[in-house]
Amino acid sequence: MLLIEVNHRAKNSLAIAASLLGIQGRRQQEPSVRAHLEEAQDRLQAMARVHDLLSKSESSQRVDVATYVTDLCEALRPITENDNRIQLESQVEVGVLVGANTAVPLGIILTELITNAVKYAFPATRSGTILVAVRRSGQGRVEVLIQDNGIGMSHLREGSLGYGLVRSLVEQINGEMDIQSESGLAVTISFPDGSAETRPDLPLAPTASFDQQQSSNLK
Amino acid sequence: MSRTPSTIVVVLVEDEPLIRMLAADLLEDEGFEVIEAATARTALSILEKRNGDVDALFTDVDMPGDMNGLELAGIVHSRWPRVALLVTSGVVRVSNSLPGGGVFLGKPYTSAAPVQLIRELTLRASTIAC
Repeated sequence: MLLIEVNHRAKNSLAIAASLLGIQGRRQQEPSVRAHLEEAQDRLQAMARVHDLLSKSESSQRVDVATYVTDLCEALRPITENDNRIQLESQVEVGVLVGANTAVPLGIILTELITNAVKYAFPATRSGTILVAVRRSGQGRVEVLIQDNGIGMSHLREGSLGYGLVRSLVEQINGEMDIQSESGLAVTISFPDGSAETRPDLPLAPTASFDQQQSSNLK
Repeated sequence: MSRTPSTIVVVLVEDEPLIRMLAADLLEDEGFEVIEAATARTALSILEKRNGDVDALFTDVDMPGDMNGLELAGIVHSRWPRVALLVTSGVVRVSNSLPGGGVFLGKPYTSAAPVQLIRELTLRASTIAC
């Protein structure tokens, strides 16, 4: 019950922070500054969306990836619908649950990659399809595929913040990332599923964790 | 402010000031005239004062006070059926059972969504009226 409330508040605070960035962004004259603030806003909204789902989930500890992807695609629909050139499709296995520790980074990863494809894969008059697929790939792993048949690699620039963010967040969820750009771009992310996350992370030795805590307090 | 026939007038109801401010920004940037309200009651009294002479109601669902956004939308539709309805919430998800062909928009929404939906809704309303 308390956890639900905590997640609900986290969601509200993040949504308000996102609005604040949005307000700031809209008051900027410089288009690139506006774009940066908009991106930051999208990222905070991605986190808000995860906490929203966590607050609604029965245990408050797990999120169904299918629900997240559906919600996110729904939120992007006004952009894609407005634009007949882009089809946004999802093939998501229901009941792929991820723990709270994975859900927040994964939410940002998905937002980053899908939003990126929607915004940049099909410049000018180009049209195409973006596919988001989520499935269990066996051996306790989950596989997420974000694929488009757009202009390819050039919209996921190495060295860009989005790319760097995705890289380090994939690392955070102990995942692996594979990028193919034969026709368009296909990013596959594979990570261990949430079943192991139901237990709290017990430290190997209590003294080690105590030392760690102390040293971090001293910083 | 004088109202030209082409200006879309929206009553925006949202209790969270920063979220309301951003939504108002988004709509005003598109040239809409926005009248803000923090509660459903305030919104209702604004509509009464204007005799329902607005194009759209854009309202949150969960707000403090004795009336939520869905109840407000119901009342507005029964009294001024011409007003287009756009209902948003981050808490509840409303299926498409809003009166008068109103539309539900889940939160968080993209910045383009409210403008686009209000344009579509008001366009539909004006073609029906003709």
